[in-house]
Parts: sequence; C-alpha cells; structure tokens
Amino acid sequence: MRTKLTIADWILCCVMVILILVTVVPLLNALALSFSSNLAAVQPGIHLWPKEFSTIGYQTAWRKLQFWRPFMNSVYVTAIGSFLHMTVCSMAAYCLLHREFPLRKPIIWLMLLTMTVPGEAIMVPLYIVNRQLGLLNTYTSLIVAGMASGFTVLLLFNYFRSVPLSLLEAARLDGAGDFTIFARVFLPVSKPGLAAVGLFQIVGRWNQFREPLLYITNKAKTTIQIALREVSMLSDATSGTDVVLANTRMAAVVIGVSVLIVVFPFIQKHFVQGIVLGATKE
Amino acid sequence: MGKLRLRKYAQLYLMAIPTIAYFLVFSIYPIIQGVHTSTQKPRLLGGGDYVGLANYREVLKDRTFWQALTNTLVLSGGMIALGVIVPFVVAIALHEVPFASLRKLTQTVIYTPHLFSWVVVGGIWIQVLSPDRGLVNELLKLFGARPIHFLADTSWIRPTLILLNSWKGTGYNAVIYYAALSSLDPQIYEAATVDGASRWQKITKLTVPLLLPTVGVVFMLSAVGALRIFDQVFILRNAATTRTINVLMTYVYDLGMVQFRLGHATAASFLVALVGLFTVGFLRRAMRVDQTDLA
Repeated sequence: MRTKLTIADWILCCVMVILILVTVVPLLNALALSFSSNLAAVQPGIHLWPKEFSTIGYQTAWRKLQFWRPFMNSVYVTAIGSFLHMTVCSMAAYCLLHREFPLRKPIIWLMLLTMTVPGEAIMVPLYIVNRQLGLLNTYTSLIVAGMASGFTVLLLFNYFRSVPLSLLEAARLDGAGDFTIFARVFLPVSKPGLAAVGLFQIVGRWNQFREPLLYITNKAKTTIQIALREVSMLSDATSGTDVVLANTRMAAVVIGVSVLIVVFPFIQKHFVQGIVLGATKE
Repeated sequence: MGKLRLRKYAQLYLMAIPTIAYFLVFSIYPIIQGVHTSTQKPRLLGGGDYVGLANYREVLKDRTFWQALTNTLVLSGGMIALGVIVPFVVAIALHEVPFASLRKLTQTVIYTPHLFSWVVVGGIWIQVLSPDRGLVNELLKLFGARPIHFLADTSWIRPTLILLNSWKGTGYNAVIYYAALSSLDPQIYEAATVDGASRWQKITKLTVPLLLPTVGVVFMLSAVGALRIFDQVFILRNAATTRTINVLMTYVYDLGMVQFRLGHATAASFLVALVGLFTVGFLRRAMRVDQTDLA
C-alpha cells in the first residue's frame, strides 16, 4: 500500500544495514584472515578479504595443532549426547501423559526442582560426583551432562498433548504396548518439537565448554571449544618458539563454528522455540 | 505390588527410569554432596572433619569474594541494561522497516552470534580488538589515534565485556521482542491509520505499550543469567584484568579447580545460588505487584 518511501524509511534501512555490518564485519575479518597466507596474515591493515588466498592456516590448525582430534571428539559427543537427550526426554514426556502412573508426580517434582536450582550452584559438587563415579576423562561424562532437562520434557509434553487420549486408549485396546504407541503415534506427531530440541542440543553440545574444562584433562580426549580456547589465548608475540599466526587462529575459530554453519539454515525455522530451549543453557 | 501396578505400567517404568535416575544422580545427589563438602574441613584426599558453617564464614570474610560480587553487579548491571534496551529499540525498528526481506535478513544475521560459544566470540574479538594489527585499532590508526588495549587495560575491559555481551545477545533478545510484536493484531494498526494517527504516534501509543510486558520477560531472563556469568570472563581475563572483571563463578572455579579448596568453593557456589534464588523471587514478586497496579 505504501507508495513512497519517507525519510524515516530510509533511516530505518540504514539502521538495518548498520546492524548487519556490526555483526558481519568481525566475522568477515576472521574469515578473511583464516584464508590468508602467512605473510598476508601478519601485515597491518584492514582484512575483510583474503589478500593472498591460501589454506595454510587450516592445514596448520588441522594437522600441526591436531584440531582433527578435538573436532572428531566433539562430533562424537554431540551426536550421541543429542540423540540420548531426545530419547530420554521424549520418553519422560510420554510418561507424564498417564495420570495414574505412580512415577508421574515424582518426575514432575524432580523437573520443577531441577529447573529452579541453578546448575552453577552444583558446578563443584558435580565435579566430585563425576570423580566418584570414575567418569573423569571419559566421553561419558560429557554425554551424560544434561541428559534430561525439564524444559525439553515440557516442550515435548505439549506436543504429545495434542494427540486425543481416545487414540491412546484405542491403541491400548488393540493390544499395543506403550513402546509401540510412543514410537508409532506420539513421536511422529511431535516431529517439529523433536527437530527444535535436536537442533538446539547440537548447538549446545557443540559449544559445551564448562564440562570438558572440568572433567577432561587428557589432551587426547579434549573437545573443540577447549582446543580453540588454548589457541585463541596465544598471540603472535607470546607464543614463544611455536608461533601461531592469525590465519591459523582464525582457521581454528572457523573450525570451531563449522558444525553450527551446517545446522544454521534449519535453525531459522525454530527461532521462537529456541527462546525456550536457549533460556536453559545460558 | 498392586498399588504400583507393575504389570500394567511395566514399559512406562522403563521409560521413566533414565530421567529419574539422571535427576537423582546428577542433580539431587550433587546438592546433598555439596552440603556435605561445604561443611567439611578442606582436604584433598579422603573425608575431612565436620566444621559446620566455617567455610561459609571464611568465604564471607574473603576480600576476593566481595570483589567478585562487586564486579558481578557492575558487569551484570551493564549487561542487563543494554540487553533490555538495545533489543527493544531494534525490535521496533525491525517492525517498522518497509521491506520484509531486509527485516528477515537483519533478524537472521544479528541472531547468529547467539549461537556461537563464548570461546568463538572471544577468539574473533581478541583478534578484532588486538592492539597489534587488530581491525579496530587499525581503524583508530587511520584517524591518528593511539592503539587501545581493550582487553588488557583495566579502564576499558568492563565496557568492552558489556559491549561484547550485547554484540552476542542483541539478536536473541530482539527475536523475543519481535515475537511479541508479530503476534499482535494488524487490525489495531489499520484502525489507528484510519483514525489518522501518525507513524510516530503509532509507535509511542501502540507498539511501545504493547511491548512493555515483554520487557519484564527479557529483564528476568537477563537477570537470571547475570549471576551466572562465567565463560566470557574466564575466556577474556588475563593477569592485568583479573581483579577488575573476576566474577562470582570464576571465583568459585578458582577456589575449587585451581586451589582445590573444594569445601570453600562449594560454600561459595551455594551462597551465589542463594542470592540468585532470592533475586529471582524478589523480581517475580516486584513485577507481579507492578502488573496488578497497572490493571
């Protein structure tokens, strides 16, 4: 309907462009440096495009700094951990549908309690518990961390509730067990919810930092964020004999977001659910 | 047996066990374990002796604790203020932009840093802010200014951290605001147009009041996160700035994981949690009072 753009419209467009630039320029700077040659990376000036295109930074990060190892570790922990989280939480959500089920109340109480107590309060005790269970320096400690979450159970429960209870009872009368009903009826209904949970699990677990920081001291088992932090802390001047140049450091950063870049196109659809799920991890 | 209906619910029990076991072992037990540890004389190996609340008292007497508390309040104050106000303005701007494609693009782009870990954000910005060939200082050089050590200068580190937090989180909070705006009935705006309301009037008389309830939500989310600041400080602190930006959670980490005073660390983290629960409870209360007053 709007026929002519007013000055206000142009100002708004400028604001949008500024917002985009403020976000994109630092990212572009990192990307440009990561694809620069060793010589170009140490030259002064503003890098927004690779000056001498080269993948030497990636080669150094991947092979010499052995980023392939934490990368593979993180892929493994992220995949297994996300899958386990979705399985465990969806099963719990299904249990909540049955009002007569004796464990329904205990589950709800535990959920409410764990949603109130900030995870930070038990950072040190959790370390002790992992030590007592012999989980230090195991992938299991990272996979099990955050295996169930009240927020996810509630989100999936809301999807499950859209199924009429009569359907559940009809399936029961036909002799179907709970596993069958859960897998055949309820999981398909909640596909969008499961997708959102899965995506944000992947993001959260790929970004997992505090758990490996606390539980993993064995370098061979460390994850991508820890490896990236060690490299980022080094600067050209302070790294001593083994100089890590800006192109290598920025290549490490790009490797550190690589999996997120793959996931990102799917995430856009789930911005709003992400608010609910994202609130839990901050 | 009859009461638990084991036969009828056998499969349900199997499905409930992982969640219950997880919560018991990794939430409830650590709390109990924490209470135990925090009342024990710190000792590296084996059990210590029961010392009551001595660890809590020692933490409260520790000057580093109060310094960390002050830093947490200053940093989180800045982060909450920017986290509530900037996305508010951004969301209104998004709502007003005449091109849907530009709006979508901006929304997507500014949301992206929220998905990055603080390690990644730190890695990118350590480079961008580097006094030695960093992007910002190269720009400053063009204007003849001297390079600034944003991450090493004690007078710059706090504003820098607060701004970085805003860079990472603005898009996320803007999506929350924008979600509230887009659920509004467009007929209200059409009616206002028919009545001859100007664009500015529509913003101040319609959009802003309709957004105000969401301010509470964003404020709560930011306030809850405030006491938990850890990653960004842990990643960006250095010998020069530790005293200026050390927060409660890094204090707990240092006590527990660096000095291995687990009793003191647990006591400190419980104190933090207590303050957190108190703050949240208080804010909830205060905001509810506000809303009933308005109604």
